[in-house]
Amino acid sequence: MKNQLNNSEKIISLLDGELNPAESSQLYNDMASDFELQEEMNQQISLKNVINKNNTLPPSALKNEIAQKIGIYSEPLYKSKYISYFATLLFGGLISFFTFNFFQDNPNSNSDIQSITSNSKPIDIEIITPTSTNNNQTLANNTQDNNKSLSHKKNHYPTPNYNSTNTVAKEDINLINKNSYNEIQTAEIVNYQDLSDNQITNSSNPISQFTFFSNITNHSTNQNYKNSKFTFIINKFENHSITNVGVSPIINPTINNLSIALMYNFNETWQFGLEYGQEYFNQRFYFQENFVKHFIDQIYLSNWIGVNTRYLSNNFNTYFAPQLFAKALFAYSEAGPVSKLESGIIFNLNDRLSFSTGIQYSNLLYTYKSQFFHSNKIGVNAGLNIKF
Amino acid sequence: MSKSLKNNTDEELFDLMKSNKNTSRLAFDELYDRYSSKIYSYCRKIMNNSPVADDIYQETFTKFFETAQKGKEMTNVAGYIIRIARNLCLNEKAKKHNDKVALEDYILPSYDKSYGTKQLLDLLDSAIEELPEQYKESLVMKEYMDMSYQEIADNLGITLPIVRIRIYRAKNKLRKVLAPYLNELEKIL
Repeated sequence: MKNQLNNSEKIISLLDGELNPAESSQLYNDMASDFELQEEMNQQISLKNVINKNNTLPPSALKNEIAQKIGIYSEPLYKSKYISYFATLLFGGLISFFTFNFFQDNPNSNSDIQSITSNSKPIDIEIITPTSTNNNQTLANNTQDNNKSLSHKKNHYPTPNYNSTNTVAKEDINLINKNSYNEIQTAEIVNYQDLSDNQITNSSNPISQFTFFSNITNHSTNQNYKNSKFTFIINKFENHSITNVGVSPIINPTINNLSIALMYNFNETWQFGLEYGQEYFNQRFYFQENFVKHFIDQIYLSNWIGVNTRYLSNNFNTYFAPQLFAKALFAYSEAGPVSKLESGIIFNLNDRLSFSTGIQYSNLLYTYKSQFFHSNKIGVNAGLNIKF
Repeated sequence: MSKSLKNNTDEELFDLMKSNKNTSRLAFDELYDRYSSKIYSYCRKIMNNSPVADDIYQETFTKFFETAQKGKEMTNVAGYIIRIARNLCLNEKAKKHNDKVALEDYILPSYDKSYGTKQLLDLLDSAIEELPEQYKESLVMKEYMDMSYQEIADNLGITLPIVRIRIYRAKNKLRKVLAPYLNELEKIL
């Protein structure tokens, strides 16, 4: 028995490289005639392989945290938590500039219409302004809305600045009207010549007349805004968990905590939509086993998808005028249901683009070992809203 | 512009950590690369508690760097880092001796091993966890930190035969517990 124990010890020492040559030779001799010792040797080799392969490398994020603690690293710019906000704004700005005419026409030009020059006979423009129903008379529009009866007061104005070369397309004129943000409600062309091959010519380069947010005030009607049926929203959260677990996520949270939503604009105040997002939730499980109290801390990357609704206060009809909003979301993730409540302000940058920010409360309900737990977060939310 | 410090000894690197920010960062990087996996394995295995182990791991390197910045002389850098980690682990264990947490519970939900594989891995972790502390520490130092028996003896302040017997007992216990699963474990790892 003593010899067997010694040989077992020798096997381990041999595999650890701690056995001298003489002892090694003795062990091999003993093993040659002892099947059990051979089996033990094989098992110890397997065990050593298994232990060595079950090694864990430290997450790379830990190195950065240590380096930041001791002050020898500065966080790379691309990992900064502010970079995502900057990227969102930049992205929105680029979309606006190239797609949604973020830069409005210059107010110094008095009117959009004046910027059109032509050299031939004038076109009559019928200016229609809303009035009370008592003074209404029915007007059959002779443009796109021919079959639509409206209650309007009809006035005729001379149009000295709005001439045509007999080549102005009806569609072109209407397009100009849509982009006009003066007090005139609607301008309908009642006498125009049909389209020919020539184009409208502007007096100068239109880009040179653009100025940033020229229509902050005096924005009484905005057909595009009102006619938008959908809103696409990109949200970025910066939330702090009420459950402090003292665990850092392995993945950089800067690139997470995002959501996208597609909303249906039911009317000017209510929106309904679908939203997908991913974010971190802190989890702390408590349970008792064999009279021992356990707790487990985790950070869970939740991917959720759900429905939401948003209520917006009245629009003040001016750019930058804030609208208050409240939002509720109910979603489902792999861990369990996610709910969110949010309240904040929307700043309308133009008729299609707005920036929203608010305070958000999030809750994840989940189960572990047949017990219910919940994770709560509160923080701020910034979003870019694009109407189309 | 940055020069490689791979050929420098631990003690030279430790001295370099006392110099300017750039050099100290490079020296720290090199030492970190040399010892991070060993220290991390030690913390995880000894603590059986991933979040706390991570904290201790971070604190170990923070304290190590701070010691260098204070201008202290060092003759055994590896031993010093291990000693910091060991002391921190012992302190933590003394504080939280009632809060026992299974290692397997710290695997994130995104863990993509199959159910059977996870069970086997849990079994291995649990078997190591169940070892008596003294055996476990010697085993971890040998297998996960690749230290010789003599280095273990020096670090733990015990004799070489005691190290030998502790490691033997630890491995013998593991072998007996895991014998039916060793072939499966070898396949999946």
